[in-house]
Amino acid sequence: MLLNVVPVLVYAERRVSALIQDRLGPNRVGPAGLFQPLADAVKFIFKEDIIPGHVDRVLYVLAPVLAFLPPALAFAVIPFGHPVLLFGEKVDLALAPANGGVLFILAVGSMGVYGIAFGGWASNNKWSLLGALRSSAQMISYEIPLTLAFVAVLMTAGTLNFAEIVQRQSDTWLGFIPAWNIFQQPLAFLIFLVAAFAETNRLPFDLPECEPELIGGYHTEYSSMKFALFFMGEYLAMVTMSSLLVTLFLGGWSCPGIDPRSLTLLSGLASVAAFSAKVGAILFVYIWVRWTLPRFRYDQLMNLGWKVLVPLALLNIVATGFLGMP
Amino acid sequence: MTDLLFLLASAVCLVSALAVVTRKNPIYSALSLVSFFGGLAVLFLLLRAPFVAAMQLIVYAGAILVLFLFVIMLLSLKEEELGKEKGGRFKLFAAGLAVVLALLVILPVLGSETARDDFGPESALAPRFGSAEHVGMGLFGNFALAFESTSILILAAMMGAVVIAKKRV
Repeated sequence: MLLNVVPVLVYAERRVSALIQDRLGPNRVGPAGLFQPLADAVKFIFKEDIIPGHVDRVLYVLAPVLAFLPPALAFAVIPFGHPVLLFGEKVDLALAPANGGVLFILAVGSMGVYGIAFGGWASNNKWSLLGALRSSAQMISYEIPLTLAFVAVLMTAGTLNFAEIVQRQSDTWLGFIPAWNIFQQPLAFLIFLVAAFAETNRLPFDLPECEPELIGGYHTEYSSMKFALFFMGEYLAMVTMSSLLVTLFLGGWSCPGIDPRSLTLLSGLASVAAFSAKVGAILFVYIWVRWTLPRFRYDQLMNLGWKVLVPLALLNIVATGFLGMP
Repeated sequence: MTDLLFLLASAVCLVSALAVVTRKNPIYSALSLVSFFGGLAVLFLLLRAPFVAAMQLIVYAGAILVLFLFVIMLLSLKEEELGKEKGGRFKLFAAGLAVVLALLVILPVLGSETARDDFGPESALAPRFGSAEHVGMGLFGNFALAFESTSILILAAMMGAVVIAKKRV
């Protein structure tokens, strides 16, 4: 299911970018170019798989897999709908509803850097190595504000369980304002959003790839399905990050009008639809930002991370602590 | 099932720990260390310590080792710069020392009574044992003093590193 999102996302990216740049975008394959991702996939599979002679073979082959696995694994603990009664049994709509889901996501998420780092190093190429180094520094730097923003949300939620975090957001205030964490933790939301862009190596923070300077960064030497794995890993990371953002700040599957206690299949499907719509909206923001903002310089990126986001996130935690005191 | 997982994780740990010291290329050593941490995390999970397992991955595999990698990649050692292997006498000495140290760990464990027993039924453990709440209560409750002194120690080390790294402060 998660993998199916990737072609849709690639298609959306190309169409939206065309819209923003006042072009047509892919429109020849199928109605409105809808089958373009299929054509892309076929192309990827039939391309010759080249392993350049100067690479470190073991790591070169291992790296795309390492880049692809963490975001796919991390998605497992995110609840994408409220529990439903299926054939008389209560089913959680999450692949692996874990009690310490938050810890799991942080642990798996921190593994994401290895794919890129090894890929760049194994390619044995200056640009790839530079891309890999940039990405490791960037991902480590932005993991800190990301986690700190996380902590503030966990303090308001008082639990490490994603299902409970969402459950707490499914109420409303005054009957119509949804009790989403974004209203309680606006600063944390902002920090998380910026850090999420950096973690997924998206513009304006795509320094690890940065075509004009690095040709393509860590995946310069990759071709065929190995390149496609990097590519899909990147898009999967986007999807997982967006789902995380929605779960933490935008109420996850909750939506005014959906009763989480009802347990019927219809209501469950509605909650899944609400979750998907929110994730889709965040993904659109991702694409939108990519095609409208210029790239940062590397020192600006590091300054923003360490001198702005980290202190802000720490202040936010202190403030949350004081405000939350009984 | 648990036994199988234990054997598997231990095997991963042993093999990768050996690989860390035997690989000639430091990148592979680092990679082996990552898989070692992964196996260790599984062992922690089997010991009903999920929080420690997560920390193992987040802190060691996720942060510290990436810094290691960073340094290794920047140095980018060539074959000849790695230097010649130390002679056989040195290796023999190291192996002997490793065996003695291992015996020092294994013998007391084999000798003690509790080691042979199981951990006992799950009910013997505190409820929510090893969870984030449990660890947090311990860290900020019973062991607050030790915890805070450790953090001051680390802060001092950090400042020391900055002073050494900077020529003029």
